Amino acid sequence: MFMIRITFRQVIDSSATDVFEKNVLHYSYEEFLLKSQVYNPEGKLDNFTQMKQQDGRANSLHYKTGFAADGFIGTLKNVIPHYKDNIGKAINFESYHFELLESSVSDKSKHAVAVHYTTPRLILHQTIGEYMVLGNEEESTKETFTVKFDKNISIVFVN
Amino acid sequence: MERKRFLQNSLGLLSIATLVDACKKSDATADGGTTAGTGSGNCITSPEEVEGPYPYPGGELTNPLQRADITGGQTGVPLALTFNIVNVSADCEAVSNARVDIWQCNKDGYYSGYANQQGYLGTLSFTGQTFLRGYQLSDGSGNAAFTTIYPGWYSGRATHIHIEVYVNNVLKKTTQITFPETTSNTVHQSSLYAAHGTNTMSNAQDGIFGNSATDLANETVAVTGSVAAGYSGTYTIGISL
Repeated sequence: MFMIRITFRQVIDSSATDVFEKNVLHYSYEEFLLKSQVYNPEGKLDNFTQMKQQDGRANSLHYKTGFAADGFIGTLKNVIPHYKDNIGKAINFESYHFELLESSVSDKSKHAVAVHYTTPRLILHQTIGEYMVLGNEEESTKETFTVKFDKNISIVFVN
Repeated sequence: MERKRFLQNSLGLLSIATLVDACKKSDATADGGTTAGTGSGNCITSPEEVEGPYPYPGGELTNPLQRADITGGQTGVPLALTFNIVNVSADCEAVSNARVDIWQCNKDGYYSGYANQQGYLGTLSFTGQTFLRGYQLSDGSGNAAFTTIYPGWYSGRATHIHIEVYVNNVLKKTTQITFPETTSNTVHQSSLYAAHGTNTMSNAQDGIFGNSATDLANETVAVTGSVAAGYSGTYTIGISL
């Protein structure tokens, strides 16, 4: 039995369809257009990758653009969107961080971000194949829930 | 504001267009709902459109960082700063509606927003937090006012606050301000800051402020007040438009 935290990664790009994702994408893009200017003083660069190559400080655009998404992430009330446990129950997150995957000052459709939602400390009782049998740390009962591993799920803390 | 005007105009046009369409005889499918039925039969299901344009929670079309009070729950000596934006190319006339962004570290020398910051309290992360960051749009007099705390410091830098100014979404100024060292020392020796103590980097030795005595003088904000009452100051930012 271990104490773990799990991070769920939600990638949001121009294929987004739900309102939350579209809002996060739209506002983070508007912020990117503003905040990227300091790393693109001559206006010759087009995308985030080029800006990082030119000036490593452009990596600050991860969190600078993410601030524009904070209001929307707050509306989630600490419930991870899209991901559920194996019988469809919501999974809570305790913290999150924002990642700017790529963007372009000339083409909004190339703007892509990811939100990483990290759970509170959970009890990992055991793994069964691709499934983790988990429990909430603060619960005195032996109630558990089960989450399937996914390419966008990672254990980020073990104690 | 531009968006709001666009919407108002668009809604006006949309209303007329919708009325015209709704009044037109059309081969569109009639509404299939069950009614008592004395109508003319000339109605269609109104088109569905998205709520748009991306309303923020609470109905504002604003970024959560658009706020005058950027304290965000951080403790410290209160600091009221007003930035006056002027156009040096037009007889220093006030620039209204400029977006003035500021950000700074907290009393212990840490910033909100990112992880793994090394400081005197160890390596700390403040992802998902927005304290001591914000922006305001300058008013008709060119003023953008903020309520914050006197910044702390971190190793290698003089006590400072970062500023960016955008006009019509174009970055016009990136700069930093500092404060008289006597004031900073007084604040940094006061109870909330004392554990960290006074800044080991002087303004003149700082790698950014120290490269020009003239710039340093122009970037040092004279503040008035006290630890008990808090401090206030005004700083004029000249930009060329």
